[in-house]
Amino acid sequence: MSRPPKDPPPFPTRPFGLLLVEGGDEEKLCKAIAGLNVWGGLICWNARGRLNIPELAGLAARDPSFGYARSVGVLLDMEDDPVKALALIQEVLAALSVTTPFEHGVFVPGAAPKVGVFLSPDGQQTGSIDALCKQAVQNPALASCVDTLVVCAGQPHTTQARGMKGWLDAYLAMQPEPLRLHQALDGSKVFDLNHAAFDPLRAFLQAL
Amino acid sequence: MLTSITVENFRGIERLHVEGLGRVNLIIGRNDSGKTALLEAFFLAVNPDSVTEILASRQRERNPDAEVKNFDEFWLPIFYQMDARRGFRIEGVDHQASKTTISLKKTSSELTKTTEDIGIHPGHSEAWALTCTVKHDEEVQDALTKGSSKGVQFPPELDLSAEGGNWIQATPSISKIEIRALSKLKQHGRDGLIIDFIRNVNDQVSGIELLAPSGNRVAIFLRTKRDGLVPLLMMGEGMKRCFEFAVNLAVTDDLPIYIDEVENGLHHSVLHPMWTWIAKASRERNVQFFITTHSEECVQAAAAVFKEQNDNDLRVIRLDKQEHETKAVVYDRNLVDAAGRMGVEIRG
Repeated sequence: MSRPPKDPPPFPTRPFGLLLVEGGDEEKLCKAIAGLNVWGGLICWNARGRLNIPELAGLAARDPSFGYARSVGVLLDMEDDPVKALALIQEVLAALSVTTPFEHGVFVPGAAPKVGVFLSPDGQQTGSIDALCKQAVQNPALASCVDTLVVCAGQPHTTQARGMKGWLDAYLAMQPEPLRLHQALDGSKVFDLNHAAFDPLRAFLQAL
Repeated sequence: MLTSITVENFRGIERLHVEGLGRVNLIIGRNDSGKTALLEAFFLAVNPDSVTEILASRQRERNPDAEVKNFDEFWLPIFYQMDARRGFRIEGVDHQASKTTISLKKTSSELTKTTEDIGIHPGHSEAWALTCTVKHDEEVQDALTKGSSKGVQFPPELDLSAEGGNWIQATPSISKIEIRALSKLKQHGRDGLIIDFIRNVNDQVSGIELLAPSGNRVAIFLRTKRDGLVPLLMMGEGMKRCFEFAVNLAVTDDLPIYIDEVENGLHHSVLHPMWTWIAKASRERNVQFFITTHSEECVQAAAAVFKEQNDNDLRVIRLDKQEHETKAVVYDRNLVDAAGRMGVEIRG
């Protein structure tokens, strides 16, 4: 009897793009915006927590079929602490034997495989993929209501990233069937997946 | 202790290099990836003074029907693609950077023509010879093993101060060696070490005895709280396996231990105490372990135990057969633990 497949799929022995993400929401978003053709050529490994991502990169780099990876893309959220996020990126790059300084969304040329890191939302601001999703919501009237709710609640979140998560959770809770982000990204009517807010990340995935 | 090994043209391995070995080395990989071959290579690298005798012993276990004097049946499978003329090479480096290189190949049968071969018709029974060359640092020694239809003549042991060590095969085997070892332990009052370990499998066991009820053969009996004395051979495979591990480790001081398919016969609940015991014993007694397994539970139990004990000396060596090379990837306990956490398959 063959073993059931593990959650992160094994690497194929043909060229592929490898995407390392910090969690399930990031994986779902990438799958939703990449398009079937692009996604079909990628192998995505989910770290199940951002702090695991350097070890995930280390495990990937040791896989005997890692040599077939033409590129490695890493999707991380900035969250609230840019210094910690950059330290995490350095650990990931070290695990992938990349010595070139980090540049958001850019694949390091010359490395085999080429390696790029996308620090959401845009490599500059604190936050996460939630910030991208917030821009792409389909219902502006509901968005306006949630804005009012946040003000009415006294803007309780102490950081920008938490505020963004709280806003998005409130928006998703007001759907006909309350949703979590990963559910909302499944064949979504909640988000405009072709929205320009997703274009930089889409381009990053297409470059893998 | 070995820190690295290079293997060329040995059994199914065309070329393999492993470095960064630890005190406890757990070898994983798919079927036919070369796990047992690497285990044998480690054994040879540490015991270069009696290479062909060790190989003969291993071949008898692998293929009990083959006759040692029959070169093609018995000896040829030792060489990659059965190319005995090319031979194999194993090079081990220890923690003091001391290098030992072993090469073994079939040499001209002309060399083997001794008086014993007179009268043997050519083609009826071919005389053969295996030349083993061992280079230990700058010292080179040769040993010739000769064979014909009349038998095999092994060379005297080389004088290389080899470490030795105990080989524990994949299926439990209680032989005179284990009985002698237990007898020695009992004489020194150290049989409690074995009981401590066996209790992980059956907490009803309170003692171990060597008895000869028929007056002839001595056998091992376990004293249990419920059933009294029970012959070990009548107990389950797991119990025999635990006894074998325990007795081998208890009699081994500073010598490496080689265990093939460690999980065989063991319930998963025994794996954690087994690794606790191995980690502690290997650390306290400075014993290097080389172990193969197919079991993910076994790998994860090892990583968990080494983490609990804050011991960094576990290495998990994954073998993958590729074209012209077997690739070895070495994981430390943190990466093994991370793989378990994230569901990443590391067994190949």
